[in-house]
Amino acid sequence: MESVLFWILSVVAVASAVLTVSRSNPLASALSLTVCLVAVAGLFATLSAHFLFIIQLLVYAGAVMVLVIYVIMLLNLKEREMKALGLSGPRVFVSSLVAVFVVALLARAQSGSGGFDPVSPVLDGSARRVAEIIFTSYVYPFEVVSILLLAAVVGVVVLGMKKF
Amino acid sequence: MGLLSQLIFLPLAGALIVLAMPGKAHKAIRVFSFAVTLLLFALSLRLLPGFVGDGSFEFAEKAIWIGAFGIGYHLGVDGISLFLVLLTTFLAPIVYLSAWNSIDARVKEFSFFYLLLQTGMLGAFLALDLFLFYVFWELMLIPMVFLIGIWGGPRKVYAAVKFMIYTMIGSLLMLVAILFLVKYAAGVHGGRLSFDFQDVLGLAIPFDRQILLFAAFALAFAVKVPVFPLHTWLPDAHVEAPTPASAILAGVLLKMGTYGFLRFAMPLFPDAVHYAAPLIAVLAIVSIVYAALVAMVQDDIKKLVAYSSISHLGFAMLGLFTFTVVGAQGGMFTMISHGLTAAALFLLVGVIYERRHTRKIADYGGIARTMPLYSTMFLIVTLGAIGLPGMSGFVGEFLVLVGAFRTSPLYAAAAATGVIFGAVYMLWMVRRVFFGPVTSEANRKMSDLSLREFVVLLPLVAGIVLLGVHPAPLLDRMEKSVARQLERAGVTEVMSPVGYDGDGTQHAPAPEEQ
Amino acid sequence: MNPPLVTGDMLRAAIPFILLAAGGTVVSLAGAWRSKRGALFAALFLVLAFWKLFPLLDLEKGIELWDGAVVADRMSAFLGGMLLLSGLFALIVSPPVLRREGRNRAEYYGLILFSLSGMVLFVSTTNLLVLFLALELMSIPLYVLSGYNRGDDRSGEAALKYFLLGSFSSAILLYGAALLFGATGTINMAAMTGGDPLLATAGAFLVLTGFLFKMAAVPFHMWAPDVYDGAPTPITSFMATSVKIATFGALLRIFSLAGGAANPFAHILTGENAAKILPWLAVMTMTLGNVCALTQTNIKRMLAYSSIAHAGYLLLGLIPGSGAVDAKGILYYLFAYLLMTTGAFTVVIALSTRDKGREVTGVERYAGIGFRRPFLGIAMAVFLFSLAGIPPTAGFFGKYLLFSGAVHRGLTPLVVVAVLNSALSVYYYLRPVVVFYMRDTDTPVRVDDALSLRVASLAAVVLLIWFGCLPNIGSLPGVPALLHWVGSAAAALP
Repeated sequence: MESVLFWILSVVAVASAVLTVSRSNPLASALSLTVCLVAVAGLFATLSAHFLFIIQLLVYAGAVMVLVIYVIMLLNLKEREMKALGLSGPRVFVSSLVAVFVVALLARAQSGSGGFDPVSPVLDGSARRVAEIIFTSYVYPFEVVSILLLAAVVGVVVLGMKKF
Repeated sequence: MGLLSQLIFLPLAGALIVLAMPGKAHKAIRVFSFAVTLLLFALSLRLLPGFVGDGSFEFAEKAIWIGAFGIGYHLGVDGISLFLVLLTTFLAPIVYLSAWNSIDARVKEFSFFYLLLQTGMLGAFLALDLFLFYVFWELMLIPMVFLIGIWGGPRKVYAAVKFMIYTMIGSLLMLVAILFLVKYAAGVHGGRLSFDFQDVLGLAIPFDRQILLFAAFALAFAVKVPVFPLHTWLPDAHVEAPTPASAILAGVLLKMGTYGFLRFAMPLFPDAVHYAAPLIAVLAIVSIVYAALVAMVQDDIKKLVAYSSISHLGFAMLGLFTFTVVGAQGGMFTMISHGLTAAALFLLVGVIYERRHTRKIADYGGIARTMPLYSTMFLIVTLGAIGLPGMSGFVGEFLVLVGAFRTSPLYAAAAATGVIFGAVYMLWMVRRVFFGPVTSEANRKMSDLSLREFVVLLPLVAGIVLLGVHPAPLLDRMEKSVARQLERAGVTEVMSPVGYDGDGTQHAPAPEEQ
Repeated sequence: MNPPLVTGDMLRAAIPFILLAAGGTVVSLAGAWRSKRGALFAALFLVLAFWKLFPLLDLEKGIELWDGAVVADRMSAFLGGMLLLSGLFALIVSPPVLRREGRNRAEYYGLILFSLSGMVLFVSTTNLLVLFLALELMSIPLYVLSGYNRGDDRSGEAALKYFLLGSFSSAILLYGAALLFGATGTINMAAMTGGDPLLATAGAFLVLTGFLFKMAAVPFHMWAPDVYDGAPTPITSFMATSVKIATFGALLRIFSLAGGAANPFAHILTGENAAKILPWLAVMTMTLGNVCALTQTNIKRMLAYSSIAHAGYLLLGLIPGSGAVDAKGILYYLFAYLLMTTGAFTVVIALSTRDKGREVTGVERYAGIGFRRPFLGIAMAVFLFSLAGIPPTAGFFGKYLLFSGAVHRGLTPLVVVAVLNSALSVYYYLRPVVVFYMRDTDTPVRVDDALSLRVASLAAVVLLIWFGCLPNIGSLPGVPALLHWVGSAAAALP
């Protein structure tokens, strides 16, 4: 059952990712990206990373995508300008190169020469477990993240101020 | 604080005080700076009575500067540096006095850089620690660049930058060589870092390394000398520099190169020096002859004197690279003598330049009638420069030729032509400038030397004559130091009457004869 | 079983960061009420952080917390001190500029504090996650600050360029971190062992690439001239110095990670492959920086290219050769670089004017200023000669340390290239001096005589000459010498 789900979600994720980069209409790309993100969220769920699954849906597939689509609408690209966004020889070439590199690395990781065991028994993605980890051993990075967000907010305010 | 430290830091202290003086008080600044240079000269005379001249470093001062890296503060004077130091301090008040009126803008800055320059030069002559030497070597560069660049002629910026870049390339490569040398010495001395001259002496460095290290040192010094073909900065620098800067540049700064060869490059890398000697000797001879020929066709008096400097320093270089005591002594003597004559010539050119604001030979003529005193002085200095017997130039050139003849008669013959050319271009210039009819109205109205100018020139002229008549005090005090230095460079033919105290120097195996 | 959440050790180790972050928050908030006093508030927090950092300089044994998230030792303390000094200079020289442009807002200083907190964190962690967060924390405020001159198109361009390329480099670093994690199963760089060599190698080099972006090493330098030129000058000065200190500081830690050959991350960076690449990077960086600087007429761009060249000299110290990383040389050089670059930019600030909303920083208009403003002229000459590495300045002594270290590690040919580069650099460093002293003009020019600018440049001049002449003697009674501090910081590395 899980492996069937895994394969379906993977195929959907990869296919929608390819669509994301190959569509010349930005809106179509954005929608494909949403599908991709949802599929990845599904993958998280099958790994029993429930917290990550929810976050992925809420933040990426939800909030971030809304922003992306909002920006696309604001830009209001003309038909002609959209053409330039499509695939071209060099772009395909470079992106496939990067893809091959990444796949090779992942394959290498899969083959398991060295490295660590990916399915460790403590891997429990429930919100409780995540919270426990975040607020004990990773409390410091967590606080740093909050400072980072604060700094970013201040920065945005500064950039967005009408006049000094 | 020892005498040598006092010599080095007196001008620096003076410079800092000048910096604090109000810029408008020209008179006060001039008087003060002149007093500092006079005091400096007086102080340096105290070296003479206590100087033994046995070839060791006297008045030595040694202290730790940055101990962790083996950087020391080590000063000392021997027969080689003694007279260069005295030359520096002797010229300091004279040249400053000569600039009394000609430098009328930015007197404060001028005096500051002038005094700083003295510190740099004295430090470089007295330092016996390679790091310290390098610091002073660079330190004297900066004030000179400013002196040329601020008070110079129309193309002063070009000349100043060219001077700086040429010197920097050479000296930075020397820095790498110093670092490598110290690393090598540390390997020999069991990991103990030391920049001290005596600690880096006598290391049996493999020949291939020696050649590279010597090349780096030689480049730095050859640029300063300057040896053909690295001389191209010199005419530009001299022509654009104000008179006092020219006088110091020719009088002292150029000797830094030949001094560096004798003090550092030769004893540190004996094998490489002998290997490269024919090349350097030939370059020195080319410098002598080529510069003389170029000088002959100059229409600018200052440029002519500049090229004559190259020619004379070629003699000094040739003297050092004959590897004979007599030749090297001749080279040293040429340096001192040239210090006097070149400084005097530049000051003399400055005198008429101040009056007419031209240096073209063609603009003058028949000056001997309007300026008899000036012309007499000029003639004496010229005769000194071309090496008339009885003048200082003769002693040095003669000894160099003797040494060269011992090494190779061919060298001597080639160099001798330089003497002849030298007489030709100098005397021809004198004839065109001083004799013949007075061609222009402006020349007729030129006033003869003022009292100040006379006072400036008199010690120089006296020195030129005195050294020519009685060179022995210099040669005696130099001999043992020169011999010791050559001995370190692996010259075995030294016939020295005194048994030198062994200072642990090892001598490289007999050099390959070329 | 949870460990106690906060202990005394933790507080001691993390307090500089906490103070800076808290300062950033408070100062930004203060903007809502008393926006004129931002610099003062920020300086207060900075001094407080200094005060808390000081005891760490004598720390006998390093403190490591939360799986390497915070590593407090003499190294991080010394680097932190340099960063705070760089920040202090920024706080001192900014107000005159902001005031004359009427945009002296507290948020500006808040962002500087936030950025500083990120940098302090960046140099005191061995945790890849914290490393990435710190990188972002130091960069994001800088993106904003470089676009602070909103009336100036170039400032906006600078911000956008810096943001895009900076994010790109952060992503590369993050990807490398992920690969390292994948290879070794830990995000604590100090605890990494074994691991798949290919994954680890790819990860290590990607992380290194992220660093090279930040320090503007060739071929990842493209952003630097435009960003340095477009950003407000105090920010350029801050960026040029602090980011370099932070990246080289963090790299020092990574290059000398504990575990030696067993640690794949450190091993790869100091191993054979890196030994083939790093020298070329160093040579390319210094040569390109110097050659491009030769033709610049805008002094900010010139200093930007010169900072690229200096990154090249500093990279020399990271090449292991036949020994370990030259931490002493790098630290000393960074300190000298901090003083001379900040000093030079301070003079640029004093001389810059504004023309139709654009900052004008060409030197050519300031012919002869060295005589009319003697102090400014002397200061600039000292800074530039120090940058060129001429004794007796700290710039020379720093170069001496770096080059001599490299010679001792058997890298003499590289040192030859480096000194030839130095000789080349003399040409363009001399140019402002030439204009200041050797050209005459009577055109009156406006010079900012603000006291804070003078104080900053005077301090830099005095320290540069002091550290150049007497690096082994403390500049204040009772304060250890710079060389002592550098040595003790370097000794804290495993």
